Amino acid sequence: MSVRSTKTPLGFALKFIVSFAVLFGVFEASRGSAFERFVVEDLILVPTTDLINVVTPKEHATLVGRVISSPGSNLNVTRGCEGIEMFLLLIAGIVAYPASWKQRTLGLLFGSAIAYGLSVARLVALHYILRYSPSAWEALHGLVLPLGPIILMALFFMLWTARATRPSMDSGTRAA
Amino acid sequence: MRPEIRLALAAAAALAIGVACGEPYARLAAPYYAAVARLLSVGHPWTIVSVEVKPGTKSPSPELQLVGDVRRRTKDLHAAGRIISHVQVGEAVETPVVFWTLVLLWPAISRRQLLLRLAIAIPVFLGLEAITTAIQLMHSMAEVSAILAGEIDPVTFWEHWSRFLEGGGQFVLASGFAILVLSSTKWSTVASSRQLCAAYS
Repeated sequence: MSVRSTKTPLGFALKFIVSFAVLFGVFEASRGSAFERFVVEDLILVPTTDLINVVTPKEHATLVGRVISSPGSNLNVTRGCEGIEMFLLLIAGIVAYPASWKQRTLGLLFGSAIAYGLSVARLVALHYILRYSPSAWEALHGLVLPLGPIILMALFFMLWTARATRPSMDSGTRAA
Repeated sequence: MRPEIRLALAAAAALAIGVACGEPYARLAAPYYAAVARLLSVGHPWTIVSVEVKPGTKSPSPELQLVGDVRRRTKDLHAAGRIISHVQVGEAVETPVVFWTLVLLWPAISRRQLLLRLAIAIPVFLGLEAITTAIQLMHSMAEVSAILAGEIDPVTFWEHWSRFLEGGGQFVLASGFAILVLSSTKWSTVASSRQLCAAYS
């Protein structure tokens, strides 16, 4: 599939917002379903708890519902804290940007791996902050840890767009 | 400098500014949130009592708190309930951090374009703040109204919007509106340059 290089930034912004809203709506509709529980609990929270125990076996972290519990802290992972938004942002960005299906697939594969790693790392970091530095909780939980991983995803997206745009220039040269 | 490196440095600086200036920003913006909340309350049985930065209810860290009264009907004189809703200062500063980083980071071709961009960005930003933080502060008033009307466990449109914002929508809107500003100033500059060329030809 050829790349449509005539897309404007405004078109991208609108498509990005709409795509994200649709994806978010679909995921919200799945709240409480087996799919949502599998994604949030089995794919994100269980590995996060396991990782905490592997890195620091003395933590004895356990997952109780959606609370990562240890003798010194209880991290309640509420709606919007699971890291799902990073996947939704990635998909919305890749859908909105004009690129070939091959580039989109590669972007989704690599981006999802990064988003997954960041989601788990963010929850692990939140656990340790709550346990060992609760005074830093507000600044880190309120701004740095939600926005930091999103900025890293944005950097990945910029690198992906630079790579995804390159074939269009090549094809454009050939066409000329 | 490569754009990715510039973005990374700017993002790190913006986050540091956001952490350091979160509370002063929230104090500065609180009257605006109160004004927007009062405007949005028109036609609803709601009264905004105050919007202030106060020590947190669950932690000593400061947070934006909205105190509001909810009446059963618009014409009722007495409140049927009082709500205290809160937004973390860190959450409140997310919108300006993302929006202004993108708007100011993007290179402008001239000082004129930069000024035009700022002139468009300010009202857009005020609108953005109204639909993000201000609504986050007052969405529970709609929930209380629905409960007073007899609904059990209501999920109002305001609640859906709040969930959207919490689930990444705030970032999407801030970045989307910033791109909108950048695009519009690009078009305006091109259009006015064409007019100028036409005038001189």
